[in-house]
Amino acid sequence: MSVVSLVNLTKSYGGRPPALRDVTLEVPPGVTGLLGPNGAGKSTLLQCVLGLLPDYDGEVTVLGLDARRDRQAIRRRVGFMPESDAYLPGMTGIRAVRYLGQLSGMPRSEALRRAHEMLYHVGLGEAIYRQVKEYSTGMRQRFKLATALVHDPDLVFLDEPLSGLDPAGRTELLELIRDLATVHGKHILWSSHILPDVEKVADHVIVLDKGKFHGRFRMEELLSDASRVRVELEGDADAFRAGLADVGITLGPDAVHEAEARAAGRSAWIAELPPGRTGADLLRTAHGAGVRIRRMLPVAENLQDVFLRLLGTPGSR
Amino acid sequence: MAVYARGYRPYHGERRGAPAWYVIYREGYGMAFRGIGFRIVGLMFIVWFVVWGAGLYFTLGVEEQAMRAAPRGMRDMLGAAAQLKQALSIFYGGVAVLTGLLAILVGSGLIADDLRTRALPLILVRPIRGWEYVLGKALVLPRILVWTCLVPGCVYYVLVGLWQPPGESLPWLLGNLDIVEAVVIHFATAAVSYTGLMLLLSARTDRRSGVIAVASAVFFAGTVLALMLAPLDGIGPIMKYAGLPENSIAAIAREAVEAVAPMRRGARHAEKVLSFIPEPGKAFALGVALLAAGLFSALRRARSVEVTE
Repeated sequence: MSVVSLVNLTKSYGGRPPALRDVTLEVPPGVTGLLGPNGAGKSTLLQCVLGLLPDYDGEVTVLGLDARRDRQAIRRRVGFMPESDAYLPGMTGIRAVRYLGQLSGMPRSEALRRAHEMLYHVGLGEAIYRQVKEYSTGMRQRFKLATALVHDPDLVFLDEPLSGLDPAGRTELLELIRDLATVHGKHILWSSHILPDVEKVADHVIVLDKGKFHGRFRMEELLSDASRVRVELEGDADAFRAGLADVGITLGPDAVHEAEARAAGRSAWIAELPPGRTGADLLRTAHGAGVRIRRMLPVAENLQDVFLRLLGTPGSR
Repeated sequence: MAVYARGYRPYHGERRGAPAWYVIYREGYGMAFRGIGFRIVGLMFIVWFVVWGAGLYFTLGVEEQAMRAAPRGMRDMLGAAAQLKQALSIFYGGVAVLTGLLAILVGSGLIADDLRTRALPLILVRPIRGWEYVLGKALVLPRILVWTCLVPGCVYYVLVGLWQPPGESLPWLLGNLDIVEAVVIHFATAAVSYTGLMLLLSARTDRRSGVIAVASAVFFAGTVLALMLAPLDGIGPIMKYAGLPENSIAAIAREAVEAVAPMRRGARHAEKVLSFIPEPGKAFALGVALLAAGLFSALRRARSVEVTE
């Protein structure tokens, strides 16, 4: 079962090239990171799903409800924390969150109680009676999270939720978000291009680039990918590559370590091992090609490495 | 004192609160009173209202003495109703500037403030429809205009009725309902015109200062144009509708002219003056057209956040 399902979603702004092109994907339950560089279409995707950008092509289903037909029902069950610096003019924190709670259908007294709870929950308990426009950047991030949670949604869309926060604030908000998913069973779709944050919390990631869907991955699988090996060679790399191709192993340049290796009179490469092949195949091929492997290490990747690799090889996996 | 729980708790309470348009309207109305500009103009208005009420009281006292020896025809023209119509015309003419200022101060931020602070995504992601957002915003200004356009005229009307000799109050009140009708038309025309204009401008930019500048130009330049060009042949009959304040007080101004001008300068002069004053029906229709344009513009804005992102 998926919490969000998109079929051939396409969205254009005026006469410009589409911000989203034929995106078909399913967002699984739990915490899902929506990754992509600036301009990838992440915010546009979220706004289409929320009905804030109604003129799109394709089908969108949220929590089993059709986004065009059941927009109001969906909005009762989802929360949204926008990326842009947003606040309600002239209002204190408590008044603004109470107001938005009322707009979500809560009676005034309940909304006020809930607003207190949420502002305390996100760490703004001491500032609830201050004007939101006087909040610092980090406080406004917390405020936006409180507005997203005030009506107790099942699914929360977070658009760059940690931007502008100091390290302590990041850690604290990260814990809050993790807690929402693990303890309170909320589904979270987290759009970000700050990958280490997503890596700490997300169960799955979805990668977008230039408005196109690049794939959905389980975080565990993505980070425990032992099929890539970094090698440094002395000798004829072309002969080595040809030998590896015969056994189904691909050899590509390692741009990160190339300069360092060249200084030592070597060349740096990344070998992609298909299932069934191991490091021994590399050593055997090197011996046959007359080259010497001076260094051979499994590639230790974090999400950022994986992300860059994925965008470097569109359509992989 | 309430003690609020820390930590996240699921919400199992009621989800059928007040309609969204009412929440938006109520919040907008409450926020309108918070601006210092609004308070200053509001205070000036109250002072003007009280001073004019006192003046009316003393004028009616003097007029009552003078009327005792006057013939019946003269009495009709000098009577309390005619005096009240005259007083209302001058009161509303004088207060039109303050009403315009209030409308600009409150109306300029109706939607522009939400655009400036990027509040629209926070609001529109709630289970509300675009028309609810617009209706809530559109009701704020008429509610304020109730205090500046409707209440003063009705209060003066009731007071003048109460100041009549014993036993004549109720007959006087029932016999002069045309005054209330004119006041209501004044309020309705002002409400649709001012709300329409302010929605139209406020939905088009996120800069409140820009809205204030353009609205001021429309209000005050329109008034000047209407006053200067209305007597001219050819464009006069059209240009007399250029001033929104003049349009809104047209019904009251006509009542006043019809009540006292024939006595002062003759019927032909009254007719000529009346030809310079906008016709209330057309003025109201113009206001409705402006309101339709404003609602359309605001609805388009509430439909999507595309332009703010």
